[in-house]
Amino acid sequence: MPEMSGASFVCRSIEAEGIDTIFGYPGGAIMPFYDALVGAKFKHILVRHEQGAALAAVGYARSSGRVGVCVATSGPGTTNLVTGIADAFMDSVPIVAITGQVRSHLIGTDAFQEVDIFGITLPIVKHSFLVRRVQDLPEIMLQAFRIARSGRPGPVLVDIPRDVQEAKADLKLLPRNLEEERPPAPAAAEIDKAIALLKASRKPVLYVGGGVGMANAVEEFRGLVKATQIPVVHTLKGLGTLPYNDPLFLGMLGMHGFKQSNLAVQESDLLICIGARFDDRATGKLAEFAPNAKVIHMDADPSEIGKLRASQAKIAGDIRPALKALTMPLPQIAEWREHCLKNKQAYAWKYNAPGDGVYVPAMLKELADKADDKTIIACDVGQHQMWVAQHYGFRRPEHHLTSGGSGTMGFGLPAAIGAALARPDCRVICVSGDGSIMMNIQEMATLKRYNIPVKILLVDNQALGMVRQWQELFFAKKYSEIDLSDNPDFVRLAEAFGIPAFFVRERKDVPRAIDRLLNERGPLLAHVAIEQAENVWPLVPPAKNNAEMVIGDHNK
Amino acid sequence: MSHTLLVQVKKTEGSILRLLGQIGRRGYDILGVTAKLTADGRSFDVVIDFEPIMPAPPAPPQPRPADVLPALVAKLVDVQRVELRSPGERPEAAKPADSKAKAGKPGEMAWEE
Repeated sequence: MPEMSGASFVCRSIEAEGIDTIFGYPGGAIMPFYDALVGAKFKHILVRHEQGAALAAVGYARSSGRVGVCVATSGPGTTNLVTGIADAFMDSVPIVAITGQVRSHLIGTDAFQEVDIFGITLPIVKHSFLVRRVQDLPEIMLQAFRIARSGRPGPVLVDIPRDVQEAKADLKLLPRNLEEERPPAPAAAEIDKAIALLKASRKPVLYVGGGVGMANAVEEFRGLVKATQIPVVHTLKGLGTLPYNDPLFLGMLGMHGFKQSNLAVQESDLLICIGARFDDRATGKLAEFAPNAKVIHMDADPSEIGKLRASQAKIAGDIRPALKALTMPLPQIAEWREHCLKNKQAYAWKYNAPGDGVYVPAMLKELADKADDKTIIACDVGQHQMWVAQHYGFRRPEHHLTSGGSGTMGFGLPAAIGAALARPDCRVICVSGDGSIMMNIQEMATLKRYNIPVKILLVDNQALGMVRQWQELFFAKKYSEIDLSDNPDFVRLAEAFGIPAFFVRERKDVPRAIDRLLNERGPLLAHVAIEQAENVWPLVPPAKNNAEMVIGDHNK
Repeated sequence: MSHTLLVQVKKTEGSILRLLGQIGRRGYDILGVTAKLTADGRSFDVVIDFEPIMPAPPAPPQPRPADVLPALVAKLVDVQRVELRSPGERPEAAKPADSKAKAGKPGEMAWEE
């Protein structure tokens, strides 16, 4: 093989991974890569801000199961990636961030656009590389993709000085060994303990997180539910693991979980935690979370087991064999199951808010009812995010793109772009708020440039709604810096980007708006005005346990 | 109550910084560190004395358990071996070969109590 440049080799590595689209923004220190990019077999999407590139890579990865790739130049280009990398770290998303660095001999001299991005990102990457020699690239690129997707997935940074990108060498792709990437089988003794706990239980609950979908274990999980008939509560990222219309689906647990979910957990005698991590938003006051329950904890990451809650069966590694081993009928839990299902019926959301204004829970339920099985929802962060989690019924976990661990405002639009390009077979809807949308509004230009058919459902209460809600409830209605009443005219703003848009204020206009979102071609924005005083219910107040939730005004 | 962690980590870009960060930012106070190259020059043997941080009131007085730290450290890509030495335990050399597996490295290890 003739010699090739380091930059060309990076392009060949991306091709070899089967990645068809990457996201980036050029600049001085990454110019050799952009020179080599011409003629590459994958598509490059020119975003309008590097944060958009990182979050689009997250959306690409989460919706497709492939590794997402983002590219930026040194200095501010790389620091603009940081929020997206942190988002990927918190939600265990496999992305590879390729960054240009100043020439090797200038590193450490405060050269133009020099930033120690390797050091800055150390706490928020699964691993990172600073490439010192072009000859190291074959091993580094192979390892970067392997590390990103194996075990508990996560972001990997590859920082490449400009001279290394330009240097030529005899570089060959190294063979991938996918078998090596499989997580280890769990310990048989721990599975035996789990089986014994399950057989002894009378009030078990399955507490499922995003790790099931990431482990490609959805079918095994559903088989377990079908056989055992154990009620299921989901974390934010776990939604869709069991379809929302399954009778045993109790909904989300935690701070904004439904009452039937939180009560089931609090009353349970066995909590089977699968691919979840006892996050504070899920547990509320940890010391009082599921106080009478023993715990079976399954996770690809052994360090999660015992981190926050002791468990009596510790199943680390490949969760699929463990799920199969626990798949058995449990006739002794029939009474408990009926109790949970009665609660589900008793506390079912009524969708009957008074007035003529748009009621977001009802709008999202109608959207879910009308959407088909191949609809992906990408959320931003705030009240609308919780309403989506509560009221949009998901059928698959990869159809719900939300910034769970990091809570990144501005996530929705770029993530939707990534998903639309990764999954052209799916319809993609970005549900956003008037605060969040402005954080990456520039990516409307990306939608227009590539005619990406993302639909934006913008819920506008002219405020930072979740902060306003907390100030109302927990800060004596002392409102501080939450007013967004001077928002731009979002319809005209979208049209300025070249994207069609329309405005909705009244409840009677919602069905027509949803029909347009589901049926029109190309990008489209629906600007929906809602009441500012609307709150997200239920709510578990801070430092309270999950049984102490406040139900709110509509569903008492 | 202080503990000691014995870690062997590859000598790669930033590996010691990454190791110390994984301990220091996850609820453990580092009391002392020594690191020296192994004979082949490819790794560091690192000895870290630490104690779990006691949260200040009004936070619950629940320091992180020390015994979950080996698994947190073991998942760093460049960590080759890790052993937790509890207070009063007789000093001994870091366990070779499979000690990382016992700590729970994804892809390479199985959990043991």
